[in-house]
Parts: sequence; C-alpha cells; structure tokens
Amino acid sequence: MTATTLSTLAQLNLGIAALCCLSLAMERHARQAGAQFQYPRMRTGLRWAGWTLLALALFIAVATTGWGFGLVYLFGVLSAATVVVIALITYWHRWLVPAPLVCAVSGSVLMGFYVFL
Amino acid sequence: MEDEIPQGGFRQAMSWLHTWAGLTLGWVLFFIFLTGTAGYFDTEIDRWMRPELPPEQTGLPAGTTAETLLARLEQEAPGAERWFIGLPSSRNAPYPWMFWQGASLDAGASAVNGDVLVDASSGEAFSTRDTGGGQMLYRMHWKLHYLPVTLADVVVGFATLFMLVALITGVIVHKKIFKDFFTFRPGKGQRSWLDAHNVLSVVALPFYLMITYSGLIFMGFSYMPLIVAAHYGVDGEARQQFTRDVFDPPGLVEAANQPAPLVPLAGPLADAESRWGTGRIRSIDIRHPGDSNARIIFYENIGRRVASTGERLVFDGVSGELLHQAPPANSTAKGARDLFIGLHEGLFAPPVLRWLYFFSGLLGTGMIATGLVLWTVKRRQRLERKRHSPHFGLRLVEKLNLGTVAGLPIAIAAYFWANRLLPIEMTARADWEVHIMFLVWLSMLAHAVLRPTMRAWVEQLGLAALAFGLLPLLNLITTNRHLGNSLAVGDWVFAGFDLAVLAIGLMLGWAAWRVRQKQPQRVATKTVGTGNSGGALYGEPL
Repeated sequence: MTATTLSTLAQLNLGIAALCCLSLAMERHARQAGAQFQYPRMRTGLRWAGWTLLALALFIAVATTGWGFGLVYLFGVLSAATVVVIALITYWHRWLVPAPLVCAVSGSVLMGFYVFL
Repeated sequence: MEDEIPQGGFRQAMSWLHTWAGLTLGWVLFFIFLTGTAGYFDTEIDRWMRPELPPEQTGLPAGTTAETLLARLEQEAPGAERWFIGLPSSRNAPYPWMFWQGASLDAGASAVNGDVLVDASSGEAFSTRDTGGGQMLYRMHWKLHYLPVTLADVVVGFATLFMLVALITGVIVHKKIFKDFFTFRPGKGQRSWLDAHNVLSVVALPFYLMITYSGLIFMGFSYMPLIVAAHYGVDGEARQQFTRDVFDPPGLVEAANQPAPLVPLAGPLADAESRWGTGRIRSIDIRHPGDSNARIIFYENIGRRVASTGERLVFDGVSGELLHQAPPANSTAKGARDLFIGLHEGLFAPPVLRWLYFFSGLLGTGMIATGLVLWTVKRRQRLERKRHSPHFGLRLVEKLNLGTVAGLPIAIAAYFWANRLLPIEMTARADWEVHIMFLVWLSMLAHAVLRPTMRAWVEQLGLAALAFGLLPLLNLITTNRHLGNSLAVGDWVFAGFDLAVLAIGLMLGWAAWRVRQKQPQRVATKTVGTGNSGGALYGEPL
C-alpha cells in the first residue's frame, strides 16, 4: 500500500468522523440517532471535534502530497465522506454515534502509520 | 425602488432562472457530464476497446524507445517538417506513438501526415480493430460529435455558462444550505426529489464549480475573441501568431533549407533525464529534421503538478546544444489557465484520485438528472391535486427525461457492444460504433414516447442494467481477456472495466426494481390523466 493510498484512507476515516460529529451537532440528526445530548454544551463540543478532525484530514492531505494535490484529494474524499454520512443518517442512523468514534480511531491509526513509517 | 420588489422577490427571480436555465439546458448538460465523466477513464476505455493491445509498455529505457521510433520516422517520413515521438511514460500514454507532418512523398514517405501507435517490443505498428475508443467518447462531451466545431463550441459554451448560472442561483435558492446539509427524507414524493437534488448538488459543489469554470476557461479564446483581436488583429494569421506566442516553446525558427544531419538523440536525451529524472520525458518533438535550423524539443511528463503542462527543453538539432529551458508556463496568466485546465482534465491523478474524480462526475450527473425529474414531479403533483390532466409540455419533458436519463446510458453501453460485435473488417467501423450509439439513443427516445412513461422507466432501466451488466460476459465470449483471466494476471485495466460495468449494471438493475416495486398499487389509485401516472415513480423514490 502506497503512502498516498494510506493517506487517502486516513482522510476518508477522519472525514467521516468529522462530518458525523458536525451532523450530530445538529438537533435534527442528533434526535434521529437517538442521542440524549445536553444541548447546547454537547453541541459546542461536537462542533469543535468535527472541525478539529477536518483540520487533521487537511493536515495529512497536505503533508503527504503538498497543497496542490492535497486539496484535490481532500475535496474528492470529503464528497465521498459526505455521501457515506448522509447514507448513515438516512438508513442506518443507529450507527451515527459509534461511527465517528470508530472512524476517528482508525483514521488516527492510519495517520500514525504514515507519520511513523 | 427597493420597496417595489415584493418579499422574496430576488430569491424568486433566481429560482425562476435556476428552473428554466436548468430545464432547457439540462439534457445537454446531462450528456456533457456523463460522457465527460466516462472521460476520466478514457485511456482505460481505449484499451478495453482495443483488446489486441498487449499490457502497457511503460518503464522501458527512454533512449531505446526513442531510437526505435526515430528509425521508423526516418524510414516512413523523410523530408518531414516535423517528427514527433511520444514515449510511454505514464497511464496517459501506455504505448509508444509517433506522428509526422509534411513528409515528402517524392523522397519515399508513406504519407504526408501520419499517426502511428508502435509496439516497443517489435518496433512495428500495432494492428488493432478500427475503433473510436475512449477518446471518441470523451471528446463528445465538448464536440457533441455530429455538430461542426464552431456550432458545438457555441452550444457547449452556452450550456456551460448556464451551468455556472444554475450553480450560483442554486446556492441562492437553497434556503437552508447548512441546515439541510445532511438531510435526505426518502419516501416523501416531491420533498424527496428536492432533498436528493439538494444533497447531490451540495456534496460535490466545489468540484462542480471547478469543472464548470475551468470548462469555460478551456475555450476562453473562442468565447472572448475580441481580447486577442485587440492586441493581435482579427485575421487568421494574427490568431495563429497569438497561439504560437502563448503555447509554443521559445526559439522556434523557420527551416533554413540547408541540409545538415540531425544530432543523435542520446546526448539531449541524457541531458533531459538528468534534469527531470529517469522515465520523465513525455515526448520529443523534432522540427525541420535534417535542416541546419533543426530544433529538438523535449517535453517533461506531467503528473508531479496539477497544472496541465510541464517543463520544456529546446536543443539545437545539429549541434545538440541546449538553447532554452522553458518553464511550464511563460506568464502568470498562462500558469493560472494551465492550473484550471489541469484540474479539469485530472491527467495528473493517480488511480484513487481518478476514482474520486469519476465519482464526483457521477454525483454531478445525478444532480442534473434529479433536477430534471424534480421539474416534472412538482408540476405533475400540482396538476393531480387540481385533477387536471398533464399538459403537452409536461409530458414532453417527462419523455425527454426518460429517453435521456435512462436512454443515454443504454446508448453508451451500445457503443461498447458495437465495439465487440461489429465485424473487424467492416469499413468505417469506428464511425458505425458511434452511429449505433446515437441510433440506440434515438430509439430509446422513441420508446419513451410510445410507451406509458412509468412502465417505460422500468423497461429502460432494466435494459440499461442488462446492457452494462452483461458486458463482462460479452467480453468473455469475444476475447480471451475475460474477468477470470484479467484478475488472475492482475490486468487492472480489463478487470477494472469489467467490474465497473458490472457494478453499474447492478445499480441500474436495483433502480429498475425499485421503480417497478413502487408502481402497481399507486397506478390503481390514480386515475387522473392519461393513465401513465408519474406519481407512481415519483411518489416513493430511491
């Protein structure tokens, strides 16, 4: 597996996690997921988490392939990630809470692979 | 003046513009998006449509390949004004190729101009079936195939401009772009179609803006000719001078008509490789070979940057001396143009990114399709509420939607079927592949008109599913490079094509099944109008 494939997978996982967090920060989707959140404190936290994960995805994209390629990768990956998250919300909303946890962890692990290898 | 505009007047005006610009150009845009999206795999489709070709010949030493091609050019095209050697250096150029211009028939040239794909292992020209390949399919997205160039430019330019208008007005009209960012509510009729259209439009909005704006940049010189004319004048020669100034490498000269032997390529080639790295020469362009004013231009491979051009080295063709080292772009403006063109074409994209490009293109195609369907759903629901029968305009749009959204994919599949089934020795075979594609599309439009709309959706989606899904089987019967073989030997071009069309076939089949499932009970309850009720499909989409 090449470094760019690894990086793309990391971006995808981080992107899905980020977008799940951002969607959970919206009351409509939080309710769909059946989450019992204490608004608005939880909402602020989820927003922060979402944007931080997006920043991480941007970081790994640019770190692996530079600004030019990196941004093209990131936009492509985020489109795909958004489709995944919308599918989760629409058809599998029970996964909306665990999915970002799993994806954030696997995204970080993949990112770690890239950084340390 | 302000208070004369009613509440929401601006948004309503934008909504009107979005609706009608989108509808009138929607079918052209659907065609442009779908064939353009297929174009991200143009080279791969090329190779699937020429199953006679061996695996790609990249990675060979550039010197050997260049010598082989040069020898062929000396033999086939003596006295030419230009010899061009394309080296197999990336996914974009899997085989060596060459072309020449202005060769002398008296000196024994096989043709004045020529263009040949050469087998690196034998040095002979490949003999393959006559086919338009992926290039033909990809070029349709701005040439519109049957139209003369100037007319196609105008139509595509107009459509692209209004695509940009539709994107911008769409963002204005979309009331809750952030609040509804993730919202899709299936099973709610018109609401669902609007959600689907919104969601498909927003998920890849940066891609759509980039692809549309860069599409306009592509033909900026045609769309805004007066800017060039202001500096260069209006006659043809002046425009050519402009093109040369912008695109040609520096220091090109006319022939001196003094014979002089061409310097061996080895020296300049080694120089170029030492600057760019081994295997990074994309092509060698020899002007006036055999003349004392000969020039040899080396082009760097693209693929390390997003912009569509690489560096160029200009050598004296007699002494072998390096005359110019030209940067990829000779001005900031040209650099910006090259960046947009590079982004549009995505030639730099490695496989994963190429798939993301393809996926974004499909989302855009879906955005246009859902927009077209939404127009009809909205109107049909309104009419059915009032118990009016659908008017001619609505029925026409419904038929055109069906014949295009389901019919064009069938036509594209037919293009691939024609490639495998037309007799190899047929004259004008490549032309007929395309004729068949458009004839099939035409018959799908006719089928849409003749059949009840809802039933015809099921039939055409079902046919599309079979037409794509059975392509791997057709490939199995007509070649020896079937899935079992291609997967076993790791031939990812063939395996990728077969698996992709199989997946497309399955998705189309699923769509056909869903539409069919939604039909009978709804049709029974709706008795309004002509009996081919649109509410059935549109009632519960996706």
